[in-house]
Amino acid sequence: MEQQKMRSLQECKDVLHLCASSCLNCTMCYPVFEPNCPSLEQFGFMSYSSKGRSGLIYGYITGNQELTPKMSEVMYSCNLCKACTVGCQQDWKDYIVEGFEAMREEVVNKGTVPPVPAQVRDFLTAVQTHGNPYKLAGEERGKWAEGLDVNKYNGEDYLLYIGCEGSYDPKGQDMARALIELLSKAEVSFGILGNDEKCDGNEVNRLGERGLYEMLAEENIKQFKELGVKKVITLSPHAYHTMKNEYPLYGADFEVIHYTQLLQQLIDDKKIDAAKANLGSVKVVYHDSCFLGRYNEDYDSPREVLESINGLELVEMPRNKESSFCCGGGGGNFITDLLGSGPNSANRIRTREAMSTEAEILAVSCPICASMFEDAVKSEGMEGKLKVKDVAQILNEAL
Amino acid sequence: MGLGYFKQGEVDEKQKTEILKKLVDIVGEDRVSDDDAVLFPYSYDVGNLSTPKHPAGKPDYVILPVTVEEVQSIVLLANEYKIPLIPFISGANMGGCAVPEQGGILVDLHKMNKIVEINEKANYVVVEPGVTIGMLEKTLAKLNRWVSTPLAPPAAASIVGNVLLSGIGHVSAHYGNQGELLNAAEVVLPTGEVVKVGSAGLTNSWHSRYPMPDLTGLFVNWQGTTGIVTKMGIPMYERPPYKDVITFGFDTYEEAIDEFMIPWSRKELAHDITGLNWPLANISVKKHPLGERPADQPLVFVLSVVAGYTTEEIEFKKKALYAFVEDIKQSGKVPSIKEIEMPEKTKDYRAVNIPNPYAFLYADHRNGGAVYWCGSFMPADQWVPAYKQADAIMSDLGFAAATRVSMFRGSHYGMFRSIVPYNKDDDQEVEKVRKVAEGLVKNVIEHDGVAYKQPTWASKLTLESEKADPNYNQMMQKIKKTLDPNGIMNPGKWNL
Repeated sequence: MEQQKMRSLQECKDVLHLCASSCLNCTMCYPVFEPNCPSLEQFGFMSYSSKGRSGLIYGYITGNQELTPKMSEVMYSCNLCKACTVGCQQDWKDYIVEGFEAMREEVVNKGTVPPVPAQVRDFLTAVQTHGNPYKLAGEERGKWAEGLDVNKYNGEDYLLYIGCEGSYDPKGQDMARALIELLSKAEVSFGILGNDEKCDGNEVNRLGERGLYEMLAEENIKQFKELGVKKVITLSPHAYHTMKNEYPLYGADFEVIHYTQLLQQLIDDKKIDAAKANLGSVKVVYHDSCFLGRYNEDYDSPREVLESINGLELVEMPRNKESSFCCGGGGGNFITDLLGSGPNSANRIRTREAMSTEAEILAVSCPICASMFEDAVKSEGMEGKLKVKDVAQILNEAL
Repeated sequence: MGLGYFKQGEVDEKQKTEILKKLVDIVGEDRVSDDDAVLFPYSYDVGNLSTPKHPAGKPDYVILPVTVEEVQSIVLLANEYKIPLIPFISGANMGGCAVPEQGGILVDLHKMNKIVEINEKANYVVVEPGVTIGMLEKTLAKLNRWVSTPLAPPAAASIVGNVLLSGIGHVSAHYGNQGELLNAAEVVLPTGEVVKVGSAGLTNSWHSRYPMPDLTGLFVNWQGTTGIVTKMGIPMYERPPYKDVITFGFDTYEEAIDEFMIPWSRKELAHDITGLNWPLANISVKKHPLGERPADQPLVFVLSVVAGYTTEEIEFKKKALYAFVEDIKQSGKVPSIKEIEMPEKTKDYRAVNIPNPYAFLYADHRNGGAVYWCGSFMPADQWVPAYKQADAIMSDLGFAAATRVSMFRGSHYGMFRSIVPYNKDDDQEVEKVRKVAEGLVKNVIEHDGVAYKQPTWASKLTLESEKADPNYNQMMQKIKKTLDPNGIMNPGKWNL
């Protein structure tokens, strides 16, 4: 992915064809066969579609649309899943997400009173105050690892970056523990930061709070440099994305790997003996994370790990790989919940799609997806019929 | 921009709130809105010169019904308050047909998206307005069927909208424009009754528009001014397994059209015969300015799509095409003819594999995200002079002279369509496009064509031209008045 300076709305405006004037309003971003846009599916009005938001931005720039609380809510109800960029044929497709983020930054720059939605304000305040969006004590960040046989990072080959979801969310914590067990079994040299870990800032950046993001990025980069970190494994594709693609703009020079990519490598190098991995006969369907998939074009690593497990039958949902339907948690929504709940919520739509494959396990590679689908399984009454597990948990259980 | 129905300075806040409350009572508060940020994207269209910078008009409310009963209730409410109603599905019509001119309640029908019936023996399918072209195509492909499928609109556009606006399907050279393929419909009339027309009005089947008096025609091309279509029956056909696209290039319009397209289409062997001039073929791949046409590139590419249910059939059609080509070569009337190998992507999509990979690439030709589109139905004997005049109109103002022609149902008429990409952020360019737009519509009228999906200013030119029978307009007005005594349905369109 090309690294580029992140642009503000003013900077986008100055490069005319970048800021929403390029959107033809042609409807190519709309769903063709199946839903593709979580917010359009939930709310139904055109403003909640990609073309609707593009039009609102251009209307705002040209003075025809005021930045109201509602417009702000529309802008923030986007998961930034990039599904619209798959259908879009215009030059604009390369800038849609950038344009939406620039508009969010515009909202933030207007101040913390409306038009910033209260939920977004709370998210950003929580990260600023507590170092995480869950409003949980920063001092408890490393508590999930108590009792685990894991090193505090001290020059090992890899820094395992857990992230906020892995540190505070129960599903994320399960993923982290499973991964640590796997890496230990494979005798990988790694350590974690525990309480010294800070938020990676991806969601902060996606929500338009550039100043806070830059502070987080610079603090993390400084810390990693001081510790001599050369390679980082991330649990979350969100952290993977920002550390790999955006941190270098601030001077980062370490390698960044998503955990599924490392697992794939360990299997290929026989450091994990896939021949011993056996789950019995089980059907698994994999959900492509937006940040690993569409953002970073890795659809294969998780699949290769899963396919190496004996007895595992990997099936696909109708919308997979670049047409994957977002879990609904991106863009901070896993906390802000601006998309709301109900049968048309993204995670429930996607869970029903997973059920339609008759799989027993819905495999994920992202702690946000894990949490969103865990909720959806309950809402859909599918407990006992569909289990949500991440790739590390599945492989760990198979070994 | 004004406040629409509730005009600036005349807003009756009590009534505004009352209407909103009643709309909420019909669909619930989640499916209706009067918020500016929700209404704004409905104030412009893809084409017709309306953009977020220059919106054409804005609704006062937008509502998302999911049942016919809800639509009926909305219509009755609109009559009570004499507030305009604008039927809308995905807004991809490029003519401003669903942009409110006088405010009102925009009825967004995209959530009514069921495929109601597929009758494989009588060969028709019944769909709701929200069924997309792509959804229908995917469903019918599994049954080895297809409908006449529009290739130019996005696959997310509505098949119902496309039929009601006489779109162009991929088999139009065989079957005519989409509007001719409407068997039957269910409509909520402007006075609130639900009526079925076509065979569905008199039988349990949706198989035919005739032999009863043709009420179906009261809803085709009326741009939503005569009612809201809530179901539609359209014919489907068996999907031929063998398809091919054969392209020839010509250096003059006369050769391409008079000597090739017209006589070839009389043989009724191809299901799509489309001519693209060189600028049209290139605005999708090159940025402005296009520059001069290279000497080795033809002025016109003519694609013929042939299909067959057996290998013998398609080979016969291809043989007939090449035999025809040989004949016209021998006549000496097509000195520049040469066969052109088109990219596989072009062949695939014209044989109906959607989504269309080329749908709107031309919109970036001038880095501006806007297109003006003047499409018309014009008799084929006028295409050559119309083409030359269209070329001059567009190039004189600095635009690529991009125009396409496609045969409908034999050779007697077809689509004549000019496409003008422009930069919507450049006001000077927008002014030029207005001039081009007027010139192109007048060109169409001059050559006995009628623009389809006409914006209001174009339909005014059409109705007031010297060629127009004044009784035509009067008859339209009478029908409109009878069906819609309160004048609520999409007022302003077709000057109704």
